[in-house]
Amino acid sequence: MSVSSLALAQTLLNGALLGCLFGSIALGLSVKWGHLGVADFFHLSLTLLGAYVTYSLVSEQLWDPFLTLVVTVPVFFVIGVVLQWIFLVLRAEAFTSLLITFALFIVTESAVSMIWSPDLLNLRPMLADSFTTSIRLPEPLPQLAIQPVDLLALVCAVLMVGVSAFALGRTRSGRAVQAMRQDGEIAQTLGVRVVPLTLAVSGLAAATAAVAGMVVALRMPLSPSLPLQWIGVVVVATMLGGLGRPVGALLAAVAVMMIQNAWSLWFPPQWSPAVAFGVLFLFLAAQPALRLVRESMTARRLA
Amino acid sequence: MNARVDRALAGNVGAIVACTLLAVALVPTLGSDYVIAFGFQFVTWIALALSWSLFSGNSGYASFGHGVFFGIGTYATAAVLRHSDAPFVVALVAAGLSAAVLAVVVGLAVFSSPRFAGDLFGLITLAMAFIVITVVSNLAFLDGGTGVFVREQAVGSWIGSSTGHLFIVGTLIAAGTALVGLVAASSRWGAALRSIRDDEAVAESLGVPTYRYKVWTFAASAGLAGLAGAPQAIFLGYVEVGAVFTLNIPLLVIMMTILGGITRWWGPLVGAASVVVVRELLLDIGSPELSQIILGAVFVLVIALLPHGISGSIPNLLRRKAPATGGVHR
Repeated sequence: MSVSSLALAQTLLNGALLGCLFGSIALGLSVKWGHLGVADFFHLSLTLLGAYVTYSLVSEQLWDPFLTLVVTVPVFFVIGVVLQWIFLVLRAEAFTSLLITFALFIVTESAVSMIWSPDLLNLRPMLADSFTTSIRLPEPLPQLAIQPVDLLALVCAVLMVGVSAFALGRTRSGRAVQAMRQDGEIAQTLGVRVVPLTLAVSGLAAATAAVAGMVVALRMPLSPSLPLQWIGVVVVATMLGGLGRPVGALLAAVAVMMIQNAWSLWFPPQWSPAVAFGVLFLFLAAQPALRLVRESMTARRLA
Repeated sequence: MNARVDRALAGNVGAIVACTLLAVALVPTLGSDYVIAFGFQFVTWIALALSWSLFSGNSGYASFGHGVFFGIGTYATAAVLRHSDAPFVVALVAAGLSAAVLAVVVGLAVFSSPRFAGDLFGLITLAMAFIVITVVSNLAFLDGGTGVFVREQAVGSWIGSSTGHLFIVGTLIAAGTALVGLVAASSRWGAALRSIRDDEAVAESLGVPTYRYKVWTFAASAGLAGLAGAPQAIFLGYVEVGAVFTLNIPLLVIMMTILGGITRWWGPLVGAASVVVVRELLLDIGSPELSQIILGAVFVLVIALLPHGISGSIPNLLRRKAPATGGVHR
């Protein structure tokens, strides 16, 4: 099937912008997984909850979507802190915390279904034209268009990822988090206040879910099972991007979504959900070869 | 193995065989289809929990993919019955083999690098679920998005003629899984797996071929789950992706094992029995969502309050009465 370069460019652009949204969702997961050792499934549920709360506040209370962040960001910060505090109290190991967040993930799907109903909810018809009217790109690409909501996703992703990367790499607290990741006990001995720092990181990661949730509410129809559709891209982006690396997660999410969108141009679109995992499994499939190479190099060195 | 271990092993094997014979002998006396159907689900969950524990409980590599292996067994059975005149035994073998082959393929890749241990392994096995769901949904040979009617394929066969027959097959699979778990627990095989759980790097440096053990045990665990999926295809009658590959299966299996505990080979069996009964009681609530919420909350509480499970708590209780002898009993 031949595809015009314009269609391909538009598809890749759409994929990249949707990747920005998934990069925003992956940000919190990547930071918690990489720096706190918690592969937090519940982060996806928080994003869903953020979307549903935004939906309710906009559709029922007629709030401006951005104003909803005044409620969701602090509330989610507290939820993130409380969840991490529970892990600390339980002295939960990585797998235990993974199991707990997995259970909360499934509980949240049912809770959302009970509170908001399992039906699709769409905020788009209630939004002002400024949110829904496509914007043409300036010269030299006037044939390409983007949705304002996608632009918002791009801005949110760049802001959140940029601030996180700067904070982790350039600030005193960020360096403390890095030290904590290397060895918590030594970091504590050197004066890093591990517990408050851990709680703060978890809270901030959860707060990013509130922002991503707002974009989700504006961008797509909501259903309680949405996180199941996100798991692929988000987890794969987190793993391919490198745990604890916000910029890596964003770039990986953008790349995966561009590949997934381009796939649909040439191949049956019903196979596209497997593309993200296909990328991951190609990465995994290379591992035996890499191991053999590593082992033979070690053997040669020892010989 | 010393004589005391041999006697204990023989006693446990005897108990499994006796329980299996008793369960099979009771089938004609159980008049109610509900009881037999419940019994079938009961033994299926026992087989799943024990098969999960065989690899994940012993090695510490927790898999979220057990539902996939079970589902593959179900779909392999449906495919064999739909596209051939082969008897159920062939479908059973195909179910176990197809799940085991997938586990070998995934295991060879994933276990080759130590970076995929721990929670990364769990997430990779979860990822496997989504790929398999997409493949099964799109291959007309397996499902094609429309689901498969299995009941009409099984009509006229021994397995399709009664729920009691399904119960017998399910019981034999559960008993076989228990025997494999028992043998693993009492042999060099189990010791190797536990050494991987305790410290894989040390185990490897002491000469344990960890890669090989992990791949083959993962395959055995998956194959047993696949076998458990075979009678499930006929029990369901209509097989569809949403019901077969639900995320609840790995969650429940892990919950059963954690609740029952992994310090004894029979821990998952106790956990499976407890969870199946609780689930049955929750049906009376009338709201699947609320049942799910309660089950999830129970799961979190179990992890928080019983980290070593029921079988792990019994020695602690006994120790309060008498001085401990120490050690992990299998």
